[in-house]
Amino acid sequence: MLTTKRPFLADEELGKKDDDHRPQKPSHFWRSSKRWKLPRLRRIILGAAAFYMLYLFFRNMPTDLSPAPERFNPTFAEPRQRAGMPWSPPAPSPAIPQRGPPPRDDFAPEGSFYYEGSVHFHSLGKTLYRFRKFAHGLPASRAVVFAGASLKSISDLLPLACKMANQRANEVHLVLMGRDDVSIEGIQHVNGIDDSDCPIYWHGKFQYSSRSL
Amino acid sequence: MERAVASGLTYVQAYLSPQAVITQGESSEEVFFLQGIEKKARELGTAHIVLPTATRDIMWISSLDSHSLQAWNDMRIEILIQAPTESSGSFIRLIRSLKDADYLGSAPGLTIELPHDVDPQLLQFLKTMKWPSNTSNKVTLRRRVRHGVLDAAEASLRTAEAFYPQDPNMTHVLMLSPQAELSASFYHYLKHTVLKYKYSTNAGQVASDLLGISLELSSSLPTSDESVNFPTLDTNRFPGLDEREAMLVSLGQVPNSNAALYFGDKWVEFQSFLSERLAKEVTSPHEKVISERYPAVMEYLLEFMRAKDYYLLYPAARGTQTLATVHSDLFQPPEEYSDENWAKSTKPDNVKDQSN
Repeated sequence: MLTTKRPFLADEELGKKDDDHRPQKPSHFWRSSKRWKLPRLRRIILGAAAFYMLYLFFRNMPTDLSPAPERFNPTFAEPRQRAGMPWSPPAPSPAIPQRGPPPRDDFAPEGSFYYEGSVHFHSLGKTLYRFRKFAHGLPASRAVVFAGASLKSISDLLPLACKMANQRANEVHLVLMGRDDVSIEGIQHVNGIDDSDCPIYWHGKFQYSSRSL
Repeated sequence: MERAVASGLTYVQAYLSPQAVITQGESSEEVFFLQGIEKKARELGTAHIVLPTATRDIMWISSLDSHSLQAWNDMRIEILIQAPTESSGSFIRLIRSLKDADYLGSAPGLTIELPHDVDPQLLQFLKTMKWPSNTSNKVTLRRRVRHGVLDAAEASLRTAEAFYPQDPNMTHVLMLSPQAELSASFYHYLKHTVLKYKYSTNAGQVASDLLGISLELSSSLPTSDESVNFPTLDTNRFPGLDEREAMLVSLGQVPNSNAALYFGDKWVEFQSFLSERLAKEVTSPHEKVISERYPAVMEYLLEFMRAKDYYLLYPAARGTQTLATVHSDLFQPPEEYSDENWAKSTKPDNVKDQSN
């Protein structure tokens, strides 16, 4: 019976054997797992990559950059390259002794060091711009530049600069590069000179220089 | 801040292209500023003049033009002294006056030519001598090995060979006789005059005709025969000479061996002149013009000046300031002319020297 039935049964179910008896669950499971597993793997990899990039970004984040418009100035290409390095503020070279910057500098943000260069360009350029013709106009320049940072040395240089200017042999310029917040008029007033008796060209005064290191 | 100073100087250079940048020294100036200027000026090739003292002591700088100032750092002076034989008093007096002089922060090199018979006291003095210079090898001692007295030609050659300029346009020799004594400000005058008459823009003809600068104007001409005529004060020829100068100068076609600076380029010319001149010596013996109280090299210097039409710049007789004093009390004739009579007459001087 069994033997007879079996072929029948077998025959009867022959067409749909595969469909009916195939274990549905594993098939579903496999399918869903396939649909789920692939994105998860990708997600894990992508997440790890994103996490790693975030980590890289935070790790190498430039903390001492100046505002974006200023960074386009090619003059600052060099400081920008060095931004990754740890910055040791008052001693770019060990030869410079600690000169005791003003106390407020200790609390100034590190970025302030990069500020003054650009400002310097504007304020110095304002007065220098008038003399651009001399750089190319004359075959040999007659310019002599007196430069000073401390007010003490500037007031010492002034009589010599004025005397030289009065000889009319040289074109005498005085460039202020100090961090003292004194205007050109103030210096002229304190030293008792004016443009008529001392025909020298004044340049300078950095803004923000009093805040930098 | 140092970098800001450096970039500031870059703009100054770009717009003004100055010949020189003048700053104060470390005593009254910020260190970051000086370092920034120094580094950048070297990079840009601009002369950076660091004033050695307060400006009230060096106001004469104001009369220099920009080209003179440009040569401020490059100009070098070498002092050449020929020490006398068996005597030291006058020589020590000269060295002491040199040590006391103000060299504006850069002491010149010192070369001392010692004779064969050196006074032991002089050697002792040289052993303990402190030359005002930061670098140790600025003092050069040379001692003649050969025994005996040199003749005029040999002595002249020895003087001419004692110096050769490293850069003929920048290195100059200051020849001093042991009888001289210099004032403390002689170097100021020398630097000012060299910069003004050698390197300034309008020096032109003066610079090319100037053999050197004398610090001393002797009251009598260095000739053996007073009737010899020298074109001594020929100021008309150079109208460019500044009459507003605090220190008046004049030109003379007379050499000086007591205290005079000879320019490096002219010294090179003089050496080649001397070599040719001595080669012809055998055929044409020359008549002597300069007195035998002066070194033999003076004779050749005079011939050289006459042949090339060169002049020495002398401080004017009217000048009140004395730059160099020439003492005659411990006078010793030059070795090449010191015969037996001279030796006898100077013997007491030598004895007196050693007791000093």
